[in-house]
Amino acid sequence: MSQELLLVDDDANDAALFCLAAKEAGISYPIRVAGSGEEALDLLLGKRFCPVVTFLDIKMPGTDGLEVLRRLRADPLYRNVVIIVLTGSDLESDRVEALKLGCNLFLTKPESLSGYIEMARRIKALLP
Amino acid sequence: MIQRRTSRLYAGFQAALVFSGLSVLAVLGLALQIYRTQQAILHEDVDSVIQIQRLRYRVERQVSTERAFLLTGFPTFRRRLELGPEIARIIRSLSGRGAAPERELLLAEVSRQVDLYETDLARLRSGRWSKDSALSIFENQLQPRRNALFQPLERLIQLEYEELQNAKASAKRYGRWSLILGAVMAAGLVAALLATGAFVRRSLLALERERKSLEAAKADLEKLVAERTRNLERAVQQLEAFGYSVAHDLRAPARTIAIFSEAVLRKEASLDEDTRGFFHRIKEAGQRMRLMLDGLLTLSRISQEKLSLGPVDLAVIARRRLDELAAQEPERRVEVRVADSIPVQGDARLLEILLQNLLENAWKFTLDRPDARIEAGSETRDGVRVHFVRDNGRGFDPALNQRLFKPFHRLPNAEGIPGLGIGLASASRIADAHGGKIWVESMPGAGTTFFFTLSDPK
Repeated sequence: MSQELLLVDDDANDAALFCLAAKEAGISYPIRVAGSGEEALDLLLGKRFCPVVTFLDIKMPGTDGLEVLRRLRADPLYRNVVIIVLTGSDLESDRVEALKLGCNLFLTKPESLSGYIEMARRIKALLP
Repeated sequence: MIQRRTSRLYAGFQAALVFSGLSVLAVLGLALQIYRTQQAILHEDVDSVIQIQRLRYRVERQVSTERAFLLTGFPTFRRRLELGPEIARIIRSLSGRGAAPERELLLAEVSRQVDLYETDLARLRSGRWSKDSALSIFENQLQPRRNALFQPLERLIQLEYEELQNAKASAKRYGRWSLILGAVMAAGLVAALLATGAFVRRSLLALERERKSLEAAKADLEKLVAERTRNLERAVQQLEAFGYSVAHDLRAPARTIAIFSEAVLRKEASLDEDTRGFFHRIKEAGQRMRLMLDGLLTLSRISQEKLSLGPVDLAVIARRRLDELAAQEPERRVEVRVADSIPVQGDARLLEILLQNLLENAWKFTLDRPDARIEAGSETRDGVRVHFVRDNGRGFDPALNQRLFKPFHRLPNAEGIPGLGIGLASASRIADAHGGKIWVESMPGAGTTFFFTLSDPK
């Protein structure tokens, strides 16, 4: 198991923000970013890359986060890896669907940098 | 077109009326003439002729009676006949009828001759004559007298006959003319009636054609209006959808601006005072933009969502919201008066937003008052149920009334009061969605009352 975090998000700004917050919070794991659902699936299922935690955005063009989640949980290798949905959507239907498909946490993207950093600190506490 | 036809129709009717009137007058005039002539013939002319004839007969009888007396000496023949009154009667009946100098002269002559005859007759009777000399006087004096009397009488009769003939002829003429005129008039009337009938028929047909074409035009127009309305509705929907997606898509960049400004500001040590100030402004603008976009999205959702109607008690919502506001700012003293119950029909979630906006408004604008008071209630105005939220806060110029309900319009005296200018716009849309309306009464310093109706929910 490689000692990396994976962030799946089509929004480069959000990805940069996440990395900034992780750095500020003192997360020492390197963060690999996949810019689309397809790229993520290729990395995980294709290359058998296994991150410590996967952060998954839902609303993406092409293969969306829910589809990625479904495909990962169908694979025995990824049945038990930690997957956290981190999305801009606060739709109840998305939350219910994501939890049903087996995400470990459903988080809504914070509206401020301080919010992001606070979130990153909480996540750091969970990491091995 | 119709107007021109109608006025022509009227003109036709008027002309026909005038024609008929003139014809009737003409025929009446002729009939009067005929009547007069007939009267003249029947009474006066014939009468005078008869009288003259009678006078002649009297004179004749007088003469023959006198002769019989002279021949026989029988006293039965010695009757005296007065011709004077008879003459007077004839003169009365004949004189004054038209200026006929010959008749006047004849009458005078007759009168003179009668006098002479009577004088001679009286002389004959009063003298004592032998039978032969009496007969001789009679033959030589009275007979010529009689003849002299008869001459103007004959002439008078002739005159009267002539006049009678003339009258007859003119009656005949008038009769003929009235017949011709009557025929012409009847023909004219029939022609006018036929023409009018044809004209009326043509006009009616034209009107019917016009009505049909108008109806067709109306149907076309209605179709066009319906189509345009559909297009317009679609355009409005597209616009709403466009607005929604624009607002939605702009949220992410606005957030990015705010967040990365914040990221820059975290490196405080490497920034000078000015740069820090600039990035603060950028961050705040980004955050404000984000909030405004959220407001727009809320507004857009209110307009697009379908109402789920049910019984709602506005008083319950108002009390809950005011309790929450009081809990958020426990240091404020606000007197709250809410009606016991304000039952309405509507969408509970939207009505909560409406009331919340009005109450927050009242709450914010009574900030300066130590004796702040907020009321929520309902009353009937002109038969319509009107709900209201009243405060005794800052108030504002009534001239600003309607602008208040447009998105992002804030009161000029709202300094120091947080808000984006979305709340009242939302409230207005919610009232609108319920088929009601919202309005405000306010005076600077005297507080504000927001009224709204929810009648006729869609």
